[in-house]
Amino acid sequence: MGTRLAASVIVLAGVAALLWVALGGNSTNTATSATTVAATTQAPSTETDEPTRETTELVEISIPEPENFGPRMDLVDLDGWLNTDATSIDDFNGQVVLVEMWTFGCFNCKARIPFNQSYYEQFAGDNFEMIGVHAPEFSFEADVANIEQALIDLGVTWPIALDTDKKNFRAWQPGTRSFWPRTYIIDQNGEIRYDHIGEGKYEEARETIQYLLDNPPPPLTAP
Amino acid sequence: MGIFAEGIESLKLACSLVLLVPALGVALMGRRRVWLVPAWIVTVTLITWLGFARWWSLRDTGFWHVLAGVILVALVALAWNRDALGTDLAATVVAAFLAGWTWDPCVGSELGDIITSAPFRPWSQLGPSLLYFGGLFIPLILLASIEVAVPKLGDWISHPSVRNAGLSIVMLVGALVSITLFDDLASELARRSSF
Repeated sequence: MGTRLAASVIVLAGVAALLWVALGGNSTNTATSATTVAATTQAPSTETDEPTRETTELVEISIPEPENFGPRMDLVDLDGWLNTDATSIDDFNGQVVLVEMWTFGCFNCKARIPFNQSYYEQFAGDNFEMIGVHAPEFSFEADVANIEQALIDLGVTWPIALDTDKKNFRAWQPGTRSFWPRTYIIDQNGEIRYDHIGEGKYEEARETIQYLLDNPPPPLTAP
Repeated sequence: MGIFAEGIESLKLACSLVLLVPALGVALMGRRRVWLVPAWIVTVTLITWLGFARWWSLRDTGFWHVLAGVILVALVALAWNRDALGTDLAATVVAAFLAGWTWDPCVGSELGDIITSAPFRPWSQLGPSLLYFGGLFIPLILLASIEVAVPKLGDWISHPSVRNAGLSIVMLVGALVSITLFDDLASELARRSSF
């Protein structure tokens, strides 16, 4: 009798948890919330530059120097690029570059897009660029026509490197497992200064970009 | 609770199909769900957590992966003939090991925190990992609990034909892994679904 009662409680709790999530009780991880936050962030800068400047000043005072995770790897054996005339990641040397491992069918990758779009707009004209490394999980995501259509549908306008065989997706991510999405920010010397797996930490990424643009590292000298 | 909820939300992600397809097979395997479901969840948690912590260094390709698929097929065949807890458990653990090993996750913010922290503080991330998979596999927990709470319903979901369907799914997974085509099945399911 006690066992049946305990099992019944688990059933009720489980159904309640399912309903809670289905009805949006956990709002920390949805594309909707991502869109809302990104829209809020962008709104002031479309009306006036003033709020953006205030944010910049705040960043300069409060943000510590981003950690250095070492030099970036190359992007090799790609199947081409979209949205750019570039043919190599080296074409972006000297710039602050956000590199994101993603695939268009990935829910969590799509949740990041409004934030990426806001970085792209906010730092347009600065020494900043973004590269989406498209690493398909499923075969239909490897079709270039499908990728091109997805870029239009999702509003992705920044350069895309096609990593169909996932060689770079695997090589950039040490260990036994690779993740969608994974975001890196590379400084002007080609050093990784931000490395984040999954959704979230959007403002940290924005602050890192701002910091690197405001405080470019001294050029590396040959040993 | 955020990590548990994120696990539940991951039920709708195409990336989770690699885990959910064999989980469905285990869930249908019959009257021993009270044992099989915890074994499934704990094994998937352990193998993925070991990977997050970088204590498991074997990539899910090549000889060992194929061998694990062949072992799974053999164990499912044994479970089919014997219909005993031991063989069911062995097939479940190997299927869970294989699924967890093969899985490349799409990562939300909570799971991202686990993965980011695990290489530096592995033990503190074991509990949250278990919570995540508790959420992701909540349908299995519900099935196992319903079997106990409502025995008549348990009889219905433990019908031999349901068990045969479950064993067929797990055997298909093992067979496809052993010929390196499991990803293609997951791909086709993702394409056909409305994710």
